[in-house]
Amino acid sequence: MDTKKQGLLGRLRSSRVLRVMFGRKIIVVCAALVVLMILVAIFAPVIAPYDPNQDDLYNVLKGCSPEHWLGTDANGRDVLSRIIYGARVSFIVGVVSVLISSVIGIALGLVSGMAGGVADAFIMRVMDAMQAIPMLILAMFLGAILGQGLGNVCLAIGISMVPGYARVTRGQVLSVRNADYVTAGVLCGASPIRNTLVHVFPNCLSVNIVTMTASLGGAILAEANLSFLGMGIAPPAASWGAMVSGGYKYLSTQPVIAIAPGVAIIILVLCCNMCGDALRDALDPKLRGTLGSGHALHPKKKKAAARPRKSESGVA
Amino acid sequence: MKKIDRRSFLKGMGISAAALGLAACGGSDSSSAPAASSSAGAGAASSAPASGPKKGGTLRLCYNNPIASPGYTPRASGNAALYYLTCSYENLFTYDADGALVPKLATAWEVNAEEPSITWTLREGVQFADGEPFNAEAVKRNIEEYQANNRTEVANIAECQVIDDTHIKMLMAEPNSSTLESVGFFVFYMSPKAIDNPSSLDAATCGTGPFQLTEFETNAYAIYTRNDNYWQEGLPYLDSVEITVVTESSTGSTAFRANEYDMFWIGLTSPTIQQELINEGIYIKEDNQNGMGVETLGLVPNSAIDSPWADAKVRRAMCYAIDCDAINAAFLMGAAQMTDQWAVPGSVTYNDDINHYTYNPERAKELLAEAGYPDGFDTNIVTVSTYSDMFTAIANMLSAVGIRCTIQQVDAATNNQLFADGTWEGLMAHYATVSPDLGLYMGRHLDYNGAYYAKGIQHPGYEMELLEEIRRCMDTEEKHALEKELQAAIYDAETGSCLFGRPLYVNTSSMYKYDYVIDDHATEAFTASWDLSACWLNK
Amino acid sequence: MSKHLLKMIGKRMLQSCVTILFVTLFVFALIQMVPGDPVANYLGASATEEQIEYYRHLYGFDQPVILQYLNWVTGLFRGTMGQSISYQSEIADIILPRLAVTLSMVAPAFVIGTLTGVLLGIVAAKNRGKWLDSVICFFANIGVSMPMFWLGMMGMLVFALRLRVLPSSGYVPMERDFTEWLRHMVMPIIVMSLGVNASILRLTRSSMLEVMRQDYVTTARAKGVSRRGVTFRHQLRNSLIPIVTTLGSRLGTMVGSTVLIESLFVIPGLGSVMMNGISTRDFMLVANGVLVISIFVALCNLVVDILYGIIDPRTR
Repeated sequence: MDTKKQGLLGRLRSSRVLRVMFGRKIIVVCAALVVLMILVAIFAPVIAPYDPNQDDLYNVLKGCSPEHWLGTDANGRDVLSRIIYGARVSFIVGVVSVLISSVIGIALGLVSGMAGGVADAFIMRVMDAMQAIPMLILAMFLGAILGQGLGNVCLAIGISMVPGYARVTRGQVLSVRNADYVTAGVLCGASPIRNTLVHVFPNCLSVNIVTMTASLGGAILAEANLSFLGMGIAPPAASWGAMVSGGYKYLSTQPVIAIAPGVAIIILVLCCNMCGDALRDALDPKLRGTLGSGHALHPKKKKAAARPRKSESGVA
Repeated sequence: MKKIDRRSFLKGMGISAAALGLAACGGSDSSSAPAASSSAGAGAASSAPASGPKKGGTLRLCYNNPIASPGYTPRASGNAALYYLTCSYENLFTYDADGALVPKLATAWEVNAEEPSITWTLREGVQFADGEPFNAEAVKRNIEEYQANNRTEVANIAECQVIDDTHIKMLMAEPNSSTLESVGFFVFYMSPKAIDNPSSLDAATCGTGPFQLTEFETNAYAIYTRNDNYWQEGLPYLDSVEITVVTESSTGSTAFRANEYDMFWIGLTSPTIQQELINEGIYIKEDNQNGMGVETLGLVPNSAIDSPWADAKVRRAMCYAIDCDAINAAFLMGAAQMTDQWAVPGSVTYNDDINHYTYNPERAKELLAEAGYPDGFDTNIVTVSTYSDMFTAIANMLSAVGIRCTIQQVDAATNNQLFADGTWEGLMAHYATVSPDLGLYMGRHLDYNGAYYAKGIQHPGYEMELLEEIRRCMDTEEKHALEKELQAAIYDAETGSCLFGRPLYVNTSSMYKYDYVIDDHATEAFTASWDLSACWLNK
Repeated sequence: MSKHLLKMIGKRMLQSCVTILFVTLFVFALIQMVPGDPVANYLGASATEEQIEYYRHLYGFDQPVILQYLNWVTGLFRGTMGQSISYQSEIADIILPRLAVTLSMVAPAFVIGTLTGVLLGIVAAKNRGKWLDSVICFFANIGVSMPMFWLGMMGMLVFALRLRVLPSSGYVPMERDFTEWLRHMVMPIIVMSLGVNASILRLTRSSMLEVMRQDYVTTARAKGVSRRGVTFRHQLRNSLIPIVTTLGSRLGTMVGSTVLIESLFVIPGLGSVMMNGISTRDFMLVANGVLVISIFVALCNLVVDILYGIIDPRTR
């Protein structure tokens, strides 16, 4: 239990975490790939051989060639350039939706855990209801309400991932709420909000950071899924999911248009998941096994389901 | 989602899109009764080989449009529904490959332009699948049911007078040249007993047709089984018909090539797949034979909302900025027939004597500058996912002259709502039925209260007057002259009001089949000639 | 079954009912926010005002939202889900047969995926650090990082378009022709099961490893229990706990993701009916679809809890 009180930053600084995390070569490779893809996304205009939105209507659906390594799509646009620019969409959706869901989720979890009573019951039942609806369907709903666009897609995915964070945070809050230092804070006259932020919140961080890294891949996949269903980002923006979906039409003649962006999705999500796993193992060995495999739609379900019930049945 | 668009589009277009290729038969020569033929099976003109038709077998059709209501016909609308309806239901007459009328449940008809009225002679000895007789009372009951459903095809019928079992007179509210065909073709007769209990038709049929529905799943399949009680002696040859809904054309194509289906219907939006089928060279492609297009796809600006599009110069600038040849080459395999008016080039109401649009970005920029937008402006282009690639390309072309478009991709439901209430901003796809009767077809869009797009466009006095004149005009020649005048008023590249923006291409679809499928008459006169009563499989 | 267990089940059932009540509220609230009108969409552009009014009245859309909600919920208790406007029939008649289609795909996929996942997970854990473990883990990691629709597309490309051994898509009812049904379902089932397989595998492996370190395993070995006996009696049983707790939500997720699989393989199941419902704005259809899924998830969770009570010795 010592580590819990040590604070997250302290542990991150300690070389143990980094040593454990990067102890395996494969993680180093994955981390390097993620960094590489981030660089590719940032420097897309420099790296991409063509403008990703430049049509060439007399040169459509051409196969791989020295000019176009991955061929051209239905509009004669360079597939490789679009994949390079598509990395931006994937990263933005991944990071922003994870941030949205974690901010809302952590706030709800803190309120729920600290306030207790009716507020707690209400928030948790709403979270239950949200979790009872499969995430993809919930995101489809939110997408239909919000409409298309990068921001709206992030919001839709973000909101549909909120319950996981709320649950994890609430569980963590409950476990420290009655700890001495929290009680001491109350006795010293700290306001409930200050007390929550200063004493309770830091204790929820590490578990949430683990959840965040684990759900990054899930968010990227969710964007691809929504785009495949035609509910993703509006054209002409290049999104990997939309590219696969658009390439489906030409599967029998130009399969590379659908294959290539799919491979890009796999590599990015795989690397994110691997790094997330490694970080989880390094930060909190106790969580190993119970937490996210970065499953596409319910990244935190397992944990959420496992924890509270275990204590319930234990008590009963 | 791509698969929804066409279906919902047709649904949205409703009956106007269903108005098929009535072109060839005009609508104005019907004041005299056509030579009535009473020979049974005249509709099944057969090109059968000497060996004679073989009996039995199942025709398997791969089709991309589902139907929600295969049994209760007043609720089925659009071309898409006809492939289902004609299996089990019949109308008073139908069309042959040339677009001429062919008797079906009626053996003769007479139009009285003075009264005005239509008198029908009905076929004797026809029974519905439930044994009810088909007679004048049944016709009356069906017409009334269609009227109760507010179908515009029967709106001009003021009263049905039953003369005797086989004769019925329909009084028209006002003289209208289109009424004969809309009543004769678009009403599919259901058993009066079934009409009394409409829920019995939820997933079943009860008509006079060669097959009746035996298994049904809205978005999946419809299985029709031979009607042993069919009125045409010895018909149908087939035991059953299976229509399978496959919305993804590449999926359908694969299955068709593996001979999982005998026939495969495909839309123009999948040109590469069509090309594959043609290249393989073993399938028969059935095209419409009278050269007329059903619908065109275009791009219509909203000129009713206060925006740069309210200026006709800006609208014309848009037309000059679009490179239709490139669109054709990239998205339609160069195979589509392009057009620039409310008509197919060569048809009776196509006006070849106006200034045509050419791809001329410089001219577009000039017009924009004249209209006061030398630096261009920002606008939207609304699209459903089916056309998003094409519209993305168009957006790029427009941006090149300064009309900077943001692409707004919407689903079919939203799209339909936008063109129905005229609230789209900027540009959107324009689906139009381009049959020659402009008073009827363009009227639905141009009229102040038109159902489609009308609330999103301006209604200039000159065009509206012409429309009225066309509607009143009973003389064919004169009417065509007026219609050409209307084309010029709207579509002239230099002086036109450009109300409907830029038409792009004629949206024809094709049916592919194996050579052993005989006498299905699919797509000869579009969907209208599809008739499986004498169809057989030569395998 | 112990008293505690029964009490726990009762409590969970009550909780599920509350959750489902919240689902109905939540879904209904969402529906009100989706732009578009079911009646206008059904009648098409040629509809007159009177027609629209008539249908609005017929389907009760002219009533206040609260009343519409109450009508729906009370209707459910009377055994009717209401009428679908786009299908023109009782909603239960549309949803339930399609649920059966979906389950006939999900259930085999789930069983296959879980069993192979657990087995491979054990194999990997037993061979920890060896090449077999690495190979299995590598594929499992790719499996959880892969968009399901992309995998389906690749299957279609290889088995239908290239090898031509399976139909690319479509559906034949089981009762009409079982072999044909199987031929059409093989690919969707395998694709769905691979997703479950990969995440169950990862979970089993890490859970096994966790358990293997526990004292009682060592004790059992010391007491002379055979290696195999330890694996199955002690380790597996205990490592199953975190897996079992996730099964319920996992099934829910799978039912949700059938939206993707069904629209790719053109299968008339619950997922595709929901897609249709959203696109035709047939909101009652969608609401009932979500409700059915959430009841299904709740039931699964209940079963899981019972299983959990049986497996976990601490609850006995």
